[in-house]
Amino acid sequence: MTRILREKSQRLLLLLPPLVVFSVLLILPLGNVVDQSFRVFEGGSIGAAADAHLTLLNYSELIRPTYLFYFIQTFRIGFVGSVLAVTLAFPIAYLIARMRSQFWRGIASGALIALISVSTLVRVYALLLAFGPVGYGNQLSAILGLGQNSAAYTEMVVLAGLVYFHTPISALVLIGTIQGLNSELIEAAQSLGASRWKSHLSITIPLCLPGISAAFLISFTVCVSAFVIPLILGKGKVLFVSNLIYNRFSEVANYPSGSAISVVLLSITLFFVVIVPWLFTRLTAASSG
Amino acid sequence: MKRATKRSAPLKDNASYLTRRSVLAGAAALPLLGTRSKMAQAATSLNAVWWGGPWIEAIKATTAKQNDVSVKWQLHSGGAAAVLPKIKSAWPVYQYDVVGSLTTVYPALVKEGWCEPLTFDEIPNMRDIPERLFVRGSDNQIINAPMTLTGKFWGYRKDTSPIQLENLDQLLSPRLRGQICWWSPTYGGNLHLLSLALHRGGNEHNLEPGWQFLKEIAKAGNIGRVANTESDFINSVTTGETSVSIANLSNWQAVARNHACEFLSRDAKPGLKTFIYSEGCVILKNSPNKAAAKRYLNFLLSHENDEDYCKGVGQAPANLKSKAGDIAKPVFFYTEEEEKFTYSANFEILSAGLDAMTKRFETEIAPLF
Repeated sequence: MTRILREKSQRLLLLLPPLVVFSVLLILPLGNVVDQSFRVFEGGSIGAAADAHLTLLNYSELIRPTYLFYFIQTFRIGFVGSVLAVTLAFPIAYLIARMRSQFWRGIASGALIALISVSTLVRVYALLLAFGPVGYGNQLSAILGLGQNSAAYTEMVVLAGLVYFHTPISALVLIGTIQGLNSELIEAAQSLGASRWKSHLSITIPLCLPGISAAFLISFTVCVSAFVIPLILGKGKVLFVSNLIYNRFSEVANYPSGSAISVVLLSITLFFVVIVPWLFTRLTAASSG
Repeated sequence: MKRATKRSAPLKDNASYLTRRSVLAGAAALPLLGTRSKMAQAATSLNAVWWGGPWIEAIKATTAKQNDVSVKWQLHSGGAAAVLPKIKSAWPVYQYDVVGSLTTVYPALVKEGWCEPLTFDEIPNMRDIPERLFVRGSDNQIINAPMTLTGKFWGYRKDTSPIQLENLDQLLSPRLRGQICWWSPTYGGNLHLLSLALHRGGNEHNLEPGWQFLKEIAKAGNIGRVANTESDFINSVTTGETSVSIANLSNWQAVARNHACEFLSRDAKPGLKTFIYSEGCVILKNSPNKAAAKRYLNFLLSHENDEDYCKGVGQAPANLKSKAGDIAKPVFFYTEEEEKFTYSANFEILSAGLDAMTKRFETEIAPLF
């Protein structure tokens, strides 16, 4: 019993430094944000006054259909972008994970890491130029039958940016999952007459669901909180919730409204963080049952 | 046998000889010497916030001509208003001595009461600045040091614009589909909306005609981009993504370096008038270096230095004794031209309404895209 208590207290002691850091850098500032979200803001000033009254106005504003539109747009584009990123990442991860040569596996993984490490601004502006009039924007918009400055084309470019950013990250997450998969199971299925497609659909995908879930969750939460991609590629016409938050804090100095939007975004994102793994767990159980 | 001993010459003057005691004393004095020189540097070192690009190059070049103060520069991350939350979060803890600002942001600074009053006795070169460029605090004291005159006006790229803009009603032309580079309401005091309001008989107190006009333009699908920063505008018009906009002189000049542009800065129609405003700087009240900062501002406002700085940023000098370069001609107006071609907006009203205008843009205009 004493040994158990000692081990528990040792674990707590080890956790103490990161707990202190997270409390100071995350919990306390979040608490400040929540407090600000209930304060009255006076136009022309910087943030809420120290003695500002409490109000629910900052939250009631967000119930309007137009603000719901921004949340729906953010989560819709984020969801589609994450699904596409994971879909594209899976075959890349499978190819790398199944490489016989450790050398080439290392090179391929390194290439993915190198993609991620290139400056975000450099990559976003490269996409802006590529999809713009100096790139192949004219030809692409003509093929798609969309105006180059139309909202539909702009949304497509934002989606392309999100997929471009999150495919390498998703692939890196999936490599570990696929490497843990026993390849003999696929061979056994095929030796029993299953086609390649059927063996992968019935064995590989279900067994990789935890990894797919993790990759999707990481991509989704980062997509919905994306700021630079919609700011630059969105041309000011496709706005994410993070852009609204930035406007509130940085341009208008309306901290209470920005805080309210932040709290709502955080709450919805946390909901998905809980729901998505639960859904995948149910799917995994269903597929194994 | 007795060992021979060396006899050293008798010491005449201790100070002439290097002894262990003198070495130790010197070593102890070295940090003090370093501290004294650091203290001397800190007394004349200023922390300043300025804009990037040609602005920081020009101010650095001008500052290098003197050695009374040394300046540590920090760049504005976005518009001039972006530094205000940073100042607020730390106030009254000292961060900056001098902050570059402009007409659209001064009202917020006045409201917060952060600015050090500036007097003609402390900054004599201020006497050569026109009175109308000064902003006064709640105690009627001057709080800004105006350095430049610039303007925001309509223009278009001659080679890519489908129309030759002569009247703002043309903004609804189907030929301009996706060709207008509009601006975020948070940029530049929303003067772009004011121009639409003026065209339809409104003003700062009544922006409703401007909102209606903007809705029509958005519904027509003529807005190709909503710029948040000057880089957005410059990239958009330079690459040919859009071709018609209202922007300040420096932005237009950045485009005009590569493509021929038509500047409509001298048009008497209400919506096409040039919005004149001034860029300059303020000294913050919590600066521990106010005297040095005021000497520095006096240096910047001399007619030679103001002239050189304005040549670098492509704007007209605020100092009446300075000569405006050719590059600033579009915003250089003689007195009789000012009333005809320019409009001085009430930035206090625009600044106070910025939050409401931003929300209205998000809820009524953006969904129309």
